[in-house]
Amino acid sequence: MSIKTINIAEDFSPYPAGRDDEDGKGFHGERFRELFLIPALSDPEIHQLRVVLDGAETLGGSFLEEAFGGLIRRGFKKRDLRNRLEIVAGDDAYEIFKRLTWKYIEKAKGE
Amino acid sequence: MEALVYIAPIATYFLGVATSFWVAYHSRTALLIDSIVDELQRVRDAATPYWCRDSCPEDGVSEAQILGGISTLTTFETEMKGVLGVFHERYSELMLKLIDEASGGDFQTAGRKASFQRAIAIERLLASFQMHLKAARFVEVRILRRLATGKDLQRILLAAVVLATPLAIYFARN
Repeated sequence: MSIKTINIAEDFSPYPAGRDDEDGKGFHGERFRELFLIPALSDPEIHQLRVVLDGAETLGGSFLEEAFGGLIRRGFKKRDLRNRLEIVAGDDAYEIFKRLTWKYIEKAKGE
Repeated sequence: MEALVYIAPIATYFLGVATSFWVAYHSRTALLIDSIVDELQRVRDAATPYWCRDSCPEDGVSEAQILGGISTLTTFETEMKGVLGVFHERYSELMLKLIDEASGGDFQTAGRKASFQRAIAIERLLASFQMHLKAARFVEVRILRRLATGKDLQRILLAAVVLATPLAIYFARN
């Protein structure tokens, strides 16, 4: 059992953008979800996943919705995410994006 | 009456310090609110046309302006908490909706279609935002708001006690 920390700006990109490959932007929400979030959340050894928002320069609603709201569409349960996922906003400037991320998770509907 | 000779300069000094502090505080707050209103206007100028048209080659510029504006607005967060007091919650709620409307949905997607609903929502949000912030510029309103948080009330009471104590001691002795 361990805690894994992913820093969007350092581990993925300081300029995340868009939803998926069709957008022609490399660091999109789908990629972040598939390469970072799902592997970590699927690993039974990781009991808590911390995602640090600080440092990301271009956090947009579409990226956050695709990355985090997309977890629900991929079959993850909201209750599990509330227990295992921690969104970290060390700076006050990122607090609003943390709230927005949880809003997208709560609003998302499973497929 | 003799005591006034000693008390008057001290009282004048404290009044001067308090006035200077008040003027500086008021100017800083007004400047901060004006900066936010200006930045909101820039986000609106980029976001409304962006959501009124289908995706096009100019989208990159608008997206950069929208995300840059949002990023700038969020950097004021700590200061705004202090300025707006208990009314910061409403401000924060409006900010959340603005980010969602301006940069959510099909934002930064290749096949984005115009969304008048989103454009109208942004216009409405920006109007609410500006009214909320402009009201906060009025000193009296802001004092009442900040008093409601309790912190400033404590400071004012403390200052009143500090200033009144020498007078109370003087009158008690005489």
